[in-house]
Amino acid sequence: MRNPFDSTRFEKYIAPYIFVLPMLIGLFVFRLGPVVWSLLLSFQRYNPFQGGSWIGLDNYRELWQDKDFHQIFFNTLKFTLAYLPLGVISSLLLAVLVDSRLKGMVLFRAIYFLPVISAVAAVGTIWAWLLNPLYGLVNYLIKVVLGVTGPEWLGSPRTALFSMVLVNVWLTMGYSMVIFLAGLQGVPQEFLDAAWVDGAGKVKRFFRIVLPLLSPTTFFVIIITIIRSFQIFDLVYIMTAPSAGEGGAIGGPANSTNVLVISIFLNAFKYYRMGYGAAEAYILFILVAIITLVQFRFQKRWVHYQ
Amino acid sequence: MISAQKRAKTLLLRALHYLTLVGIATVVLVPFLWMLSTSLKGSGVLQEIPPRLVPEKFFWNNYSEVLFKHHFLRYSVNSVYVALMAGIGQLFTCSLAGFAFARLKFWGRDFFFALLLATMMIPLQVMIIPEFLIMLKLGWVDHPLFLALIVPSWLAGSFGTFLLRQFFMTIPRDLEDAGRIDGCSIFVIYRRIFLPLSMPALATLFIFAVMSSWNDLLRPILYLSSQKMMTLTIGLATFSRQYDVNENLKMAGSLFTLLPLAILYGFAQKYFVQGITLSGLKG
Repeated sequence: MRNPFDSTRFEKYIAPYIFVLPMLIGLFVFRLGPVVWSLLLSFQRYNPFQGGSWIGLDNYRELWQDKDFHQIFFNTLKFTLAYLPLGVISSLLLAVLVDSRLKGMVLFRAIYFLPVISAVAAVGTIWAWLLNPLYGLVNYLIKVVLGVTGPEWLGSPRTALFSMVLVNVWLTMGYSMVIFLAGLQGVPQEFLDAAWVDGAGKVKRFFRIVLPLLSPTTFFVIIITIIRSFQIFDLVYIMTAPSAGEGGAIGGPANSTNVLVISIFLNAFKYYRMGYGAAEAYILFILVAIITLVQFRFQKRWVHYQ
Repeated sequence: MISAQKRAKTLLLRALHYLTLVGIATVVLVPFLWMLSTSLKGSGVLQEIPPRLVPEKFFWNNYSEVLFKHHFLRYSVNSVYVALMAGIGQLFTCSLAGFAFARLKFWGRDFFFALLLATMMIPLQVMIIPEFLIMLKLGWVDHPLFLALIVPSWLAGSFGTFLLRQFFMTIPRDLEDAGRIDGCSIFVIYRRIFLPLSMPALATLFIFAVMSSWNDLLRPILYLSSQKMMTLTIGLATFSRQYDVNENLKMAGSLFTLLPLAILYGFAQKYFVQGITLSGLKG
């Protein structure tokens, strides 16, 4: 009789590859292959229906000089810089509020998380209606409460991008809240008790003990918030529907909400300038890679672990 | 006296705490309520000032109009099919690969696993243009079985593989050895020991896969163009883009897009939160 601890040759040499085969196919066909292909595309002028020709670094050179791309880059940066503090502070506030032994916290957490699971296609459509300059609920409330006429929100190039920042805060604060909550619950009670004995009030305890101990979590939330802002797409695509405002092309009005991924999408799939789109995608890739490296590299140094 | 004062202060703080919580909950919920309210209004009262929260007259017809005349029933069926296929398929592929990475020894294991982790950090946009070209070559655009949406999620579920691998690593080796002593093959050990013990992790992955697929917008935009083949997200986006569609119908369409997942969220909230936060935590 064979020893039951001895695997057969099949189990040892063949079976493992049967287990991982689907994932390996996916890894090469849908991940690694496309990453390399994309890089090759970025050195070509490529139209899916006419084929391509090699043009070296011309796409990158064009991006460097293209005024439209400068604006796109600037829009993405503006979005990130506005969204970062609002998103981080609001979700930290939510986490502090629901990190409590009072009754009903489970319900409030569930409510605050609801937008996170909701389809952006629907939520964006709803917010475009709420923000309708003439008949939307938001401007009606502004009129009633503040007595002034509300802004044009998505209708004006001056306010459109910022409107999306606000909606995005509403959409995502529940997500970072959960992460902050986990961090808050990791703060040792003894530290807080000791500070309380020393006479530190609630506010002082928060800023002197909780916040420093929370810094790994805060650092993580900041990183992930930046990466996600660079990749914003769904919300802009939905909220710049023609009915949302004057001249409402995707990324409009007047290119004011044309961010990096919207531009990749338009170039690659609307104008079929796939080489140019791929070059933009690689710029995004490099940005995200730099931030991820910063995360790995500096996590230990900046952050105060207990 | 002092204790009474202190109690009053505690009570006041508690009241303030709740007031803030309720205030924020209102801000979170009002858009959904407003969607519900608008979806039941007649077209004539949409521009009414002041707007009413509860419509004077309920136009239930809006729902049947959106479902039947504007194809949202069809979109829903498509979305359910795609989401279930993505969810079930990922349970298979990710658990198989996760098991191999956690428990089997084979040439290249750590290398492939490292590659899988590395690709999780690459933005989708870097890969989507070649992916589109692949789908075009395969003829999967507007494929009747939605292969362009389903197959990538089956084969490239790196998050699910990672999640299940971590979970499988926590299962005691004694159980595996016991199975081997009984003469079980490796497939039987996977099927009869590891899967039954991993129900919470499998549920988390299933919910996460269903949700990602249900809410996905980019791939449906690229791969679904004929109206009959649309899922809810792209169907709603296309519907809302038409300039002559009234807000009440748009809101009814949004309702049908949100409701199924919201109901699922009511029953399986824990798994939603787990899947979403873990998928973020991996980077």
